[in-house]
Amino acid sequence: MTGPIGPIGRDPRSGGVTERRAASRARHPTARSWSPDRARVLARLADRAQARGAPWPRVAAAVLLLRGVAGDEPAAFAARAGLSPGALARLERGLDPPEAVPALLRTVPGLVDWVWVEETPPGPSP
Amino acid sequence: MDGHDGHDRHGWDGDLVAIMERLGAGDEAAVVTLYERYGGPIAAAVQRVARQRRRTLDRDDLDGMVFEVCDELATIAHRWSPDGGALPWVWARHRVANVVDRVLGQWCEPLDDQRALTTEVVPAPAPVAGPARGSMLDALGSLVPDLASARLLAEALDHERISPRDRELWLEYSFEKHSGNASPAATVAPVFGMKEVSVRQAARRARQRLVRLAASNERFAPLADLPLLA
Repeated sequence: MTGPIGPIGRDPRSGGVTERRAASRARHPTARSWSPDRARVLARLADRAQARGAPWPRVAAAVLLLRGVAGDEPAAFAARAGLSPGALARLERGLDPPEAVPALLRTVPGLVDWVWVEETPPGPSP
Repeated sequence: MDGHDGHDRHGWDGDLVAIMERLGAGDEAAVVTLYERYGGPIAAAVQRVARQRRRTLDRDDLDGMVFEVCDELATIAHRWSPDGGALPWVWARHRVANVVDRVLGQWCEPLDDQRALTTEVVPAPAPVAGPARGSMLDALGSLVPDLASARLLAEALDHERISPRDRELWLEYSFEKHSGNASPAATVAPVFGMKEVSVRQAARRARQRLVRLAASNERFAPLADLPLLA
């Protein structure tokens, strides 16, 4: 994964349908007055992970958000990010610290405030 | 599920079907995918409920509700099927309304003070001279609550290419039925020179086409709330 996260959602069988669909949605009147508030989503996901007792809830939120924006299933996303499925599952459950997040994911621009993620005070011990 | 054009055999957006399948399987990231890709139409569904409650949502409220609706859809995604023909947030419109009501508070029709405090007996209006039976537009006006809905309904009838005769028949039939006529088909049949059974069938076909349209097309979804299609 070398570019922005958007193209990850491409369906190789459909030859760019995902992009065309996204462009169509963006032109639709209902899309013009609304755009995603990712900071809010990150905060909600982190609250939820924290409620489950995750030691690193903001890491869980960041990785879930990236995979959600990509639209990938866990195995596909893990492969793209250079992670084993098990390592991805640990990150998504907030069991590993920010240092465990691959550099490739940190370079995705404009989606996650990594300073916010790294400010995470460690929660309960894993 | 995807065909070559990205749509499945039912004409559905294969992307949406895949997201709902992931949600149904408990994939937490799929909530984000739904929010990112379908937040616009979900926001429109939320705003529609707010308008019905005569409330205006600010950007902050709207964003929060859209994500909550996505969360809510995640809990019931395993029960949704594209075979039902309705978009998830249309299919689960009562859940959408619950989310809005949780944020805005319990909603009810405000009391009309003038009407509530009136003790005088208001005389019935004098009969208006004119044709014994109302026109189709009269019927339409009495069965839809506002002009915008009437326009949308007229557009839906065009969209479904319902013939002028069937429009007239369905509206007359509905008017009679909603007016309390126990045998609307018997009343309408002579007007169109048809058998009662044929009137009932034609009216049912027209109504079903509009119900399906309201369930499958976001633009016409508000029609689902009309008493006419209930």
